[in-house]
Amino acid sequence: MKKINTERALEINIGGLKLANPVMTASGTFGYTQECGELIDAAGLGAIVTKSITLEPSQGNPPPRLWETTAGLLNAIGIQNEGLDDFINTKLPFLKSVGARVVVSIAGRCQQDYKMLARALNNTTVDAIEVNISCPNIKHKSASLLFAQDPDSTSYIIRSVKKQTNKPVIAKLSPNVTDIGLIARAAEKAGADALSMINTLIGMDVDIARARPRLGNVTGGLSGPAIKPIALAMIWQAYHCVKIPIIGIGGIMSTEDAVAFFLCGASAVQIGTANFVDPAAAGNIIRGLRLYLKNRNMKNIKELIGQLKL
Amino acid sequence: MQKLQTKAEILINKEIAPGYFKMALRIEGFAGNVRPGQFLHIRAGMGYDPLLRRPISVHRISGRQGIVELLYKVNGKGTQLMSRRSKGTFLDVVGPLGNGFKVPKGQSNFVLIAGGMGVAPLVALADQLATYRKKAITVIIGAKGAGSVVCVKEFQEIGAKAIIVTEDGSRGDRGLVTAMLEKVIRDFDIRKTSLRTRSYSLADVTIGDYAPEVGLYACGPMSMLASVAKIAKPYKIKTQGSFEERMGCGVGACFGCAIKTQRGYERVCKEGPVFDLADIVWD
Repeated sequence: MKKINTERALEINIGGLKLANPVMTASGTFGYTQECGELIDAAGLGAIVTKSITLEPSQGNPPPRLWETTAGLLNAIGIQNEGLDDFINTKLPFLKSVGARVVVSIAGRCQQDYKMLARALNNTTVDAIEVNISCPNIKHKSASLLFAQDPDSTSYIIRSVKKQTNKPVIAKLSPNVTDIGLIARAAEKAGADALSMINTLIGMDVDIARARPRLGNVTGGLSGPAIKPIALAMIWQAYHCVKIPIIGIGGIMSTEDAVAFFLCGASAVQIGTANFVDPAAAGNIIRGLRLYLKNRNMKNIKELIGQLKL
Repeated sequence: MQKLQTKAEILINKEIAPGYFKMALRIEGFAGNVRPGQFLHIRAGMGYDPLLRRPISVHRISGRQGIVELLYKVNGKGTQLMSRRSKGTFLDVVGPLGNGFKVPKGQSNFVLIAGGMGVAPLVALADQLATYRKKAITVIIGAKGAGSVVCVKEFQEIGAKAIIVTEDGSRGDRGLVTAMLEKVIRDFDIRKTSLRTRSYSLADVTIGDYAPEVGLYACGPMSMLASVAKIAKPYKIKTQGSFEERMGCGVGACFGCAIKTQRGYERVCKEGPVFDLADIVWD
């Protein structure tokens, strides 16, 4: 009987997305699992969040696309992917065949793109849709801002995605804003079932010997342990602004890091850059969380959410 | 092929030339599956600075003994940490990764060209070529100066002809490896059946009478690979090059190590690190 309890201790419902555990891999860090297959047990994860897909194949940004910084990683990949049709025809069947729960990340250059992606994906076996309105590395058709930097754009896109699908919709928010609460509320009001945050922070680095940027795209998005304190602060702030669940992302490397996110209000977490450092990281964190709860006689991970003592 | 993450025991980690280290690892899981041109993704330290793993190409493979050797140059935080790891300790490695050299059937005259650390994977390739019944192996080793010429003995021991070129002329010929490659190709003009010889006595090496017999394999800086591609093109010599790029995941998931090919951006870690040089779009 006690064993059954520990088995279920990590179960969580994220806005209708029911997961066996709250640990997912973050978009763009795990591909579509074909690449990492043997290195990880995809079925054992809460879910896989796919690399963002676009309507049409996209070739991505010119290299160099990566630059390592102190405890961080700058990237400017530019969402290189093979597009919606390839995802539905090859990537998704593979993910399902290995038993993974699939959150598909979608990205677009205009509201119409998101709408069409959501419509096409609604009739597939994906478990949820994460709306990437916060990638710092792609240019948008009419705006100089990221969609997630503007409450109206956020609301407009989330609303139109919601109209096309009955799958849970997760809005992925950007930390590159003045008031995260404002954007979080806009997403919630537009019907988002959950938030995932944070995407990367816009950053750059310079090769002073050549007086050139380190990245082909000049600027990129910073991830890794360097951004964890920012992620925690933003989740803590958003937690007090919305009622929908928050999926915490940002430099989580260990079980201890993940616990901090739950305490700040996250209902689940995504592991990103850590997958590069240690492909076993996500699996280790799942085991670590289970042990953490057991050692504290907690029945479910929910008992941790937002329990930061002030 | 199956990729694994495992703990590899460090059997040897010693400096063989200033800044150049040779490391032997006992890898129980997959040493027997490693092919020349593939790489291991190594966690150099345990902290977050440097954060990422380091891709290091395999230098020699003793599959039956479960041993893989690496040759690396200390030029950053990661390789510095690696160089301080002591014998008997364990290193977190992921591998074998990427696609190695593909030696087509019918090739018997091999020219290997290395710039700087580019020698590292070419020794593994030469070890493989040495097992062929019919073969002639010529290696052109280029370095800045005598102090950074490594692996000459290794190549000679397996019966390869080693030509050394240094930029400062402190060992072997003075100049660039690419200029020497041009000379080697011209002297043994593959379009002619009769071979001419030159003073550096390659008379005993029969660089093919016609292109299909010749295979050119290169590893070195991007600028060198670009020159090699340009030199080999008019002779229609099939040329493979091993590339280096900063990597995130090392397994093809993050698309960080992109290189421009005729087919679009491809991943050095996944489609590479060995590419057909004719497929690369040089900027």
